Parts: sequence; structure tokens; C-alpha cells
Amino acid sequence: MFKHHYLYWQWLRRDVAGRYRGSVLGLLWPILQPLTQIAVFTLIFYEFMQMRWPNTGSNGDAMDYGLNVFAGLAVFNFFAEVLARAPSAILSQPNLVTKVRFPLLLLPAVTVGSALVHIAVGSVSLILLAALFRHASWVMLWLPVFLLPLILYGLALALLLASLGIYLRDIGQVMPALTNMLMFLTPIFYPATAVPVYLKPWFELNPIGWGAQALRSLLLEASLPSLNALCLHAVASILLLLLGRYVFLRLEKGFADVL
Amino acid sequence: MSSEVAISVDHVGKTYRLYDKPSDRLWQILWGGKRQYFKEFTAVSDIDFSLKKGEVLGVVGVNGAGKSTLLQLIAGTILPSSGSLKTHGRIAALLELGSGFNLDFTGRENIYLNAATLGLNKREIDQKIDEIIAFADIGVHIDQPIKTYSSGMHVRLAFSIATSVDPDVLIIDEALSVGDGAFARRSFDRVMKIKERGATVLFCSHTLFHVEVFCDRAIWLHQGRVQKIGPVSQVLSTYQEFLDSLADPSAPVIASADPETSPMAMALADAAAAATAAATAATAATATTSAEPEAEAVSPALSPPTGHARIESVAVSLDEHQGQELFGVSGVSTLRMRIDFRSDPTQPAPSAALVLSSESGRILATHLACARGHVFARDSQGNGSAEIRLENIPLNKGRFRVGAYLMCERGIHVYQWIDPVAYIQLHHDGSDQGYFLINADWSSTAK
Repeated sequence: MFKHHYLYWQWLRRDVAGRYRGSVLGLLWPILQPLTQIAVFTLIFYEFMQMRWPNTGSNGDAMDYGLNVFAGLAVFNFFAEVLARAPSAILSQPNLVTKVRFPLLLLPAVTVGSALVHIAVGSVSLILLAALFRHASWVMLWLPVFLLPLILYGLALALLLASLGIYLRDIGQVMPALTNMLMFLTPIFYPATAVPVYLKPWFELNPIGWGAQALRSLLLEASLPSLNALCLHAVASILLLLLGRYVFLRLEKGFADVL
Repeated sequence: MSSEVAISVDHVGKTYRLYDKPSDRLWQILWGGKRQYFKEFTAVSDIDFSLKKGEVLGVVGVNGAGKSTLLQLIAGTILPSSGSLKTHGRIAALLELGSGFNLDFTGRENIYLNAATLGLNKREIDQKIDEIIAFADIGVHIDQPIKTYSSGMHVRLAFSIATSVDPDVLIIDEALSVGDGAFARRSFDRVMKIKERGATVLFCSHTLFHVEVFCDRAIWLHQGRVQKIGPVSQVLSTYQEFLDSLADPSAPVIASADPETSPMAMALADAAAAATAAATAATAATATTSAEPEAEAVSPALSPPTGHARIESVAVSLDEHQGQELFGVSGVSTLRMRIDFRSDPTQPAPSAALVLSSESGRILATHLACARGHVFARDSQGNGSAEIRLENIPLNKGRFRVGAYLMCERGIHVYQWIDPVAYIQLHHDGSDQGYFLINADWSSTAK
């Protein structure tokens, strides 16, 4: 993987630049997209339904609600993009499978790399906002440590979906529905505290929810989340990644035969 | 050349499993022990050979014989299901050009992307990029998105990148050249250069005469098995016999017949088979490449067709009558063909071939100028005129096609071909059968 860093970089560039080139607003889209989502969520849930974020060191106003949604969306959009694009990561490049000798593992990794733009935009914006309107804290430096398991989860999912997606064309069809469900089943526009106690253990299994919560406490509340949970997710994500890699390498041999 | 082994193929077989649905394939991988979800199809089996560094192997066989599978196995894009296969060095496969091209990217960006995909690192690409751009002849458009390129520019760029990787092993499927006109000639020269530099080459083609002059050894695949492997001329003559036996020579071959199984029908099935006609033709004239004509000293300033040559006009006459439908007498009439050509004076003078074939397109005889060491004369601008004269035409009665091919100095790359230029109808009073009139004498004695 590491020896292909230049190739990876070229393909990442192709993917990212290829998507935004030609559009009028170009690279503004990764910023505009969550902003519109935040606006709608804030209008519906904060304004219409009077949902308030529990005290997080601020006054619980619309701004506070919006920022919490922003942090949640940054993590969620990352996973949503991986789920949406990974199944076709290899399927859409049949020539690389059948005509050239190409390290195919790179393609799902490119999908993850380009989906990271969501987390990057979210984190940078929140850090800037925190620095401007609240007090920036050294706790923020922990951010990369907490992002690492998220990236590994993303990579694991991408490997599984990209390799299974070649054999099971249904996967590409299922993903939009699944993404929709996840959006509601993850504490993004409602706080984790709103989840009834008897369902809590299930919700805590969801790495998106954990990631969203970690981002919020690091960037908005300036408090260090549980390190136990961090270790747990680090181990879990590594195991899942190993599984994803195993499945990918196992199925990879047959790619050329299918495409 | 060192005797290092570049490719060793050890009893390699490839069996495809045919599934009704892609998902069945997954079930098979996951719990294949319990149930079989597939039907088997053997693409190639028990292929066994090795190639030394610098050797050039031709791969021939009818469609579906497993040629592409073999090339893919060696390119490493599919894995053998049995046996083992080793290759040494960097492989370039001219199987698919321009993998991963992004239409919104500029030519330059795509060079980096595509070259990296083919296995070059940044430093190597930086070194080669000017040469790649120059060879592709894209000019100022190199910094524009390639969606604005013509299809010709697209192919030129892709070929230029694919062949810039300095391969140790080059895999060519079907064509020795790409693009048209001048670029076809240049791409052909580049492939030749890679070969001459000592790369190991696998060349798969239906154009048998290309295989003949390009390769040292050949392998003939039939129904996935090695039918014959050995020195190129031996393998090709056996293969040609086999092809001839496929087509019933007594029945006229119709153009709609499977063009792959019958070299004659291919000649009729125009476009793609074009070169093949000349090709199969020249198989008869084995002596080819030995003649290496020298480039003439000319001023390159006035040279309209760069790197290219074309037929300006061609005329066939039989017994001083010119036309497209000519009449004559077998064994008596004189056939002439005159080709006026234009060529790039900086390139070696072109050569030409006369091709006689039956009405159905079966090639009966060819006559290639460069195979006899004849170098065409031409003026300083590359214009010239060549004439071939065939006295006492030895063809039996019937209607025949006369074709003209303008080719490179080695008689491999075809610049342009016109076939038929004319039809000739021959008659005589005898009752002998067959295509040719043979000159022989009987003698007899009483016992």
C-alpha cells in the first residue's frame, strides 16, 4: 500500500478534482452541502419541534443546535459517502481489473480518501468557529486520535462493499435506503441523551454515533471523551479492517472473471 | 542476448466457471463445499513454454482458441486455475489504451494519472513527460481537457504513454500500429524499437505475415491447447494448412462466412481484414525482411505526407488494355500494374506488392518488391512510380482479382491498399482444372 503512495495520490486527485471540476462553485460544495442540511434541520427540529440541545456549556440557542448538527453531519456524511460510492469503486473501472495489473485495493481506499473531505470540512469549520466565538482548547489536539478509528471503519466498510458489490449488484441498490435509516438511527439532529435507556447499548455500537459524539465533545465542549470507548473502537475498527482486507483479498482473485 | 528466462509458463490452465448470476459466484466462494453453482468452461489448458529474454513469440489461432486468455494470464490480470506462471521485469500490455483517462483532466494530468497506473513513479514520469507529449504530437492542446481531443489525438496520447514505460515484456494484441497516416508509421517504428532494444514480446495476430516477419517463434493454440510451438515458419505453415482445410476450396467463400475461420473470407470482409489479406498473401513470400533498403538522401523541407506514404494512382492493364474489367488468355497475356506513390522523403522508400486472388478473395499469389531487394526510385519530394510486369500469366481460366499494397520498406506495415484494383477474366481452350496453369511435359514409352 505504501509503495503505491504516488499512484494513490494520482487517483485521489482524479476522484476529488474530477467531481468538482466543471461545477460553478467547485470545492465550495463540500461546505455548502452541510450548510443546507443544517439550515433545514435547525428550522424543522429547533424551530418547529422545539428541540433543545442539553446544556453543553452554552446557552442552547439555534447556533448551538446548528453546530451540534454540523459535527454530527461531518461524521455521518463521511460514512454516507463511503456507503454510497464504495460498491461501485471497482465495478466502475473494469479496465483496471481485466486489462492492466493494478493494485485494486487502492480504489476503495481512494473512495475513503475523497469522502474524508466531509470530516475535514466539518472539523476545520468547527475549530475556526470555536476559536472565534468560544475558547479554543488543547483538548482539540486529540482530534486526530479520535478520527483514526473512524477512518479505519470507513476503510473496512469500503473494502467489504467494493469487493462484495462486484458479485452482488443488489448492494448498490440497498445503500440509499440503509443510509436513510442510519441518518435517523444515529444521534445527529438529536442528542444521544434523547435515546431511551433500554436502547442505549444498541446505539452505542454505532461507530457513527460514537464519532459524532466524540467530535462534539472535543470541538464544542472542550472535554475529553471516554478513552475506554476510544480503545474499544480502535480495536473494533482494526478487527473489522482485517476482516475487510481478508474478504477483499479472497474475492479479488475472481474480479477479472466477473467483469 | 542473455539466456535469462523472461517468461516461464508451466502447465498453465484457465478454467472459467460460468454462472447464471454474479451472485451465484459469491455463494460458491462462501459455501461452495456444499453445492456447485457453476458450469465449467476451459479457456486454455496445459500451456507449457518458456521465453528467453529478447525472444519474440507470435500467438496464432482461430477466434476462441484462447489467445486473449493466454495474453491476459501473462499480463497478470487473470490468475491461472492450474499450473504456474512467472514473468520477470516490467510488463506493458497494449491491450487497452488509456485506462483511467479522465475526460475533464488535461492531457498533461492524464499522462501522470495513466503512467502511474501503468506502474511509473513520479520521477520517471517527470523524466519522460516531454518525450511522451512530443511523440503524441498533441502540441498546445496538452493543457486542455482531453474531452476536447479528437479520437485520433486520444489514441496517440494513450499509445505514447503505454509505450513509454520501457517494458521488459511487451504484449501486443492484434495491431502493430495504431492511429492513422503518419502516426501509424511512427507507432509501428516505436514497437519495432522496443523489440530491437531487447524486450521480450508476445504478439497475437490474425495477420500471419506480420507474425512471420516479426517473431522468432510461434505458438498455435487450438481449443485452448497448444497445437504446435516452434520456429515461426514451421508453425505458420501448419496453421495455414489448417486454415485452408477449414474453407472448402471448391465452394466459393461468401463474404458473410465467419471471417475468423477463413483467411480468404477475411480478405473479402473488408476493413479489419484489410491488412490480413496482404498478410496471408505475403506468408507465401517468406524471404521478406532480409532486404533493408537504405534511406535516400533528400531534403526534408518539401515533404507534405510526413511519415506516411500513399498511392496516388494505380492502373492495371492486360495486353495493353487498361481498365477495371479486363480480358485475356491464360498462359499468354501480359499483366502490368503501375503504382504512382507519394511518400515522406525522410523515411525509407516504400515498397509495394501485387496480390492476385480468386473472386472469393482467396489469395493465390503475391509479389513483394522489397522481398527481392528492389528499392523504389523516387524524386527528392518522395514521389515515384513503380511498375510490375507479369508475362504469360500462369492463371487458369476464370475471373481473378488484382490488388495493390503500398507497404513500408520491410514489407510489414501497410500504408495503403486497394484490392481489387481490377478484375481480369482469362480463358483458354483446354480443360485443365484449378487455379494455375502449369507448364509441364508428358513423355511416354511403350513397354
